[in-house]
Amino acid sequence: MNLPHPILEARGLTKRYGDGCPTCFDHTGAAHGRNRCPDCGTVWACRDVDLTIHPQEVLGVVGESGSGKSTVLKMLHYDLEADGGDMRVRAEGVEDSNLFDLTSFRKRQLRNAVMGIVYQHPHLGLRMNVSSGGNIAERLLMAGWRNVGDMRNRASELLERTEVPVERMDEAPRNFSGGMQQRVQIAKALSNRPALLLLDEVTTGLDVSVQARVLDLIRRLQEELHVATLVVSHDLGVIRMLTTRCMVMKNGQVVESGLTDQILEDPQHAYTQLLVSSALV
Amino acid sequence: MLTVQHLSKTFTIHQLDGKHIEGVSPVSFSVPEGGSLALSGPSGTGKSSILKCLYRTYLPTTGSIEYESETAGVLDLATLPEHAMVHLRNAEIGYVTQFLRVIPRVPATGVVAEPLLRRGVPETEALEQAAVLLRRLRIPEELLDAYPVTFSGGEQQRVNIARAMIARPRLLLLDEPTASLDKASISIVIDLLRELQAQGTTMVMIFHDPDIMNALAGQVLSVTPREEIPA
Repeated sequence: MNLPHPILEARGLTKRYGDGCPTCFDHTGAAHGRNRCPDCGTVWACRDVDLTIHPQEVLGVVGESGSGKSTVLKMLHYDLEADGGDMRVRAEGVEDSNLFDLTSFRKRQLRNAVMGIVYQHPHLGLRMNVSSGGNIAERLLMAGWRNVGDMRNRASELLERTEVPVERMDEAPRNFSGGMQQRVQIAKALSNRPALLLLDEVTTGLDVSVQARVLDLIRRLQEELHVATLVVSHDLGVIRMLTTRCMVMKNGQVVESGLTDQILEDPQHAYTQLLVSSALV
Repeated sequence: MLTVQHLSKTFTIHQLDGKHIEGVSPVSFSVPEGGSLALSGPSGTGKSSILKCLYRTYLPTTGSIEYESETAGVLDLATLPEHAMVHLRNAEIGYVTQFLRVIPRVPATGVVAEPLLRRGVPETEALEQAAVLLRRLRIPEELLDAYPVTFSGGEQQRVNIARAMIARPRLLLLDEPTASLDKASISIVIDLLRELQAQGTTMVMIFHDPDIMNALAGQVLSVTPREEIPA
């Protein structure tokens, strides 16, 4: 089978808060039900996580609060500095080396060129007092666009696609509803045609009807654009709807990974079984 | 085309102190290319679980599932890497369940067209083909653009069947897809499945109705009841 190479390959992703001690690994992790070492107090937010995403693929990471799923995503986006691990991205103009070792200048360049991110809280992804169009233009500027007319056209095209009334593109997102803010964030994340899209709990906290509309939008964009995507969510419904493969995290570790329907119908790990049987639907 | 050896499935339920439940007792069978095999036997013998193992919705506990793929030779579906399995599902293997389980808020034509879209067929063409197939399955015209969640059981099953057969998979797994259909619909489904067979689709199927089974299956495998095994 001639399968494409992964677009993202990350190995051994590790993030800790504290210095660590020789017994840390023996006393933390999913098997112990904690990620804080009782001897030295170090918190292992995430340890030794491997993940790969293939072109056009949507990979899910599911787990409860504090499982380390958002930490993984934030390290990939350089929002958090990794304490260990290796990240490779196969895209045009990206070096074939550990992308965690780049200079901070190059990291910012790379992030602007190949990644798009949507956060749970719109204020992390948007400047609330800058117009929606301006938010998108800012991102395009960082990705190297220079022509104001082009940027404005791209912004209105994206806002239209994400169902934000184009006549409100000069208005600041602070005036928008939560669902609409989320859609502006999605427009901004997609503006530079990223090779990799990162979605961090994008529907958490929205009303169900608004949540449904945002999920439908993401699905439709997925069908049209085929962007390789990482979806982090605590919600199995979101994982079921958006992903084909997923990983289950607990206490900073991946306890199980597989095809999404297999994880939901034939979960292997005790924690996944608990998670699946706890779901409402 | 498909050679299954010593396939078995045991579930371990951690919330019940690691209780083991045998889903499939070891089973072996093979189906030639273009052939069709029916799994028969009383409820609870693990027939559906066998299909789920073939599709990797269940992880087999033991055994191998050798599948002659179109482009990559013989592959073991029991151990194939996940992204390769996803590729096979998109390109070669179809699966119809007893009940339709679809993404909400997608109209019937969209649900049926999806496997074609995944294979790169342009959207208008895919939707047109979906409408043609749904009409052939006697789905009323006004329902084509409606959400299948609101459909009757029989209508949902026909949407489900259309979705599984539209892309003409090389291997089609059928789990009792006609249970809530009337006689007229059943005979349309049988005609459609026979057309696929004539075009070379290999099938593994479960049909409780012996008439349907005899109309479609080239060989029948009796699945024996599972045994209790101690934890």
